[in-house]
Amino acid sequence: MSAKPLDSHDRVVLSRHADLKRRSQGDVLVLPERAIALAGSGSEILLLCDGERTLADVARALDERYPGTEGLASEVHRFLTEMRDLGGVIEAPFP
Amino acid sequence: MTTTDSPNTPLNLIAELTYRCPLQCPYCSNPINFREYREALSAADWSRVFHEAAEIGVVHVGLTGGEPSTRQDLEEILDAAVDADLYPHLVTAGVPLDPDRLADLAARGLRSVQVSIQDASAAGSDRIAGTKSFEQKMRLCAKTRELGMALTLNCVLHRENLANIGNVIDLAHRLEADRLELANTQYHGWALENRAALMPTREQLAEASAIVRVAQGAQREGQAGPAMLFVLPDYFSDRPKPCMGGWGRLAMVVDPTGRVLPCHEAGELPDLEFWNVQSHSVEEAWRDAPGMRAYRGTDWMPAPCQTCPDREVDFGGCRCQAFRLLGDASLTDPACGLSPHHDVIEMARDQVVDGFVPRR
Repeated sequence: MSAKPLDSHDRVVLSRHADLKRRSQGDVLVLPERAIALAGSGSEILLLCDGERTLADVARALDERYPGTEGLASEVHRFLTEMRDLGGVIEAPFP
Repeated sequence: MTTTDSPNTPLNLIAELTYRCPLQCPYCSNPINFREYREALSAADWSRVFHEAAEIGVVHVGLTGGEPSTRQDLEEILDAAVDADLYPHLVTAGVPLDPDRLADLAARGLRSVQVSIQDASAAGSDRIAGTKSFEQKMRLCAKTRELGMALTLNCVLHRENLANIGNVIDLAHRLEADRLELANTQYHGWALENRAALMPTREQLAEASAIVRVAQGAQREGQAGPAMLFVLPDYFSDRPKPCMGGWGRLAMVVDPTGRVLPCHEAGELPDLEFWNVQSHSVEEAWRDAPGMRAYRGTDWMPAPCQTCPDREVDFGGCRCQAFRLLGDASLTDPACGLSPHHDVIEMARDQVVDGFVPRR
């Protein structure tokens, strides 16, 4: 685990120890020692993280779904860095 | 838009399958009179609990105790958790579980394992545990990694092992743990009995914090290693812990007798009525039991919590600690520097007695 923020060229993928669960009460990322309730497009972002898309690609894909939303790229960076620090996603090697 | 948010439904179920344990750790959080509790839930009962919990939003189950592997029907209980679509996590002392049984549990769907150690060396760990167990713990850690499950190493810290924290960190690296919990003793159950024997010094804590900071700094520079959790004990931090993330808010405990509780210890508070899964649904027992409602939210709070800007950060701290130290669970946790009774914490820091009483 490293604490430097992710870069727009970085690629991440859901950790094999993490589960994304869709519930009627809201989506949750489940980790070995905790579960994190996701709000808004949190789970959409995680589903876009296939280890091939870069963070910039993820932000672009989201922008196509929600055109004109302010601050999308920075929110993707902040959220995925937080998820990486919690062990929910891991940095993928270059394809 | 993407931020993590607080839900209105519980996410975690802490399933205390038994109070039996082959270890005698002097800081065990089980009740002092644990032998008077009857282990009441069969695997079929647990199955119903898991399915009902999943219906109200629970996604994660910690199979714990006592030592969960003392139950011969742990396999059946795990199968039920998998069937209920809960993420199953095993919290074990490493005995009497053996690597073959762990492999079988992994094949059945176990996802992650937390193994406790009592110190960084066999001699130290076995002495504090009161049982020869360290080598078996090491084999289980290795097997957990080999099986591809997530591994958390947990070491409860106190005056007798804090000086070895660097060795604990090295051990977690060697074991390739995903996560290391450097858990300063919280004074509940047996730990409160042994408080004067376990209480660290301020100097020990400062040195330990510095060692953790160096290790975390190396990771920031790119060194691989476990995610490390080290939080100063509440007796030394001037603000209370957000106990369980708030009373009856995110996590539910079901104890070996079948009671639904907000934490491990709340069942021992007098005058609070909790409901048992043998007579109520999990949803009713979680949502409506008078004990669960007693300290949920912020309306119950006394001064100074009521007007405190942190009241939804730390939720007034720990109700059980307020009861144990002040005789009234509805008071501000005395670990808080704003509590009018904070002096009981300050005085306890200076009480030092050598030699603890093992759990028995």
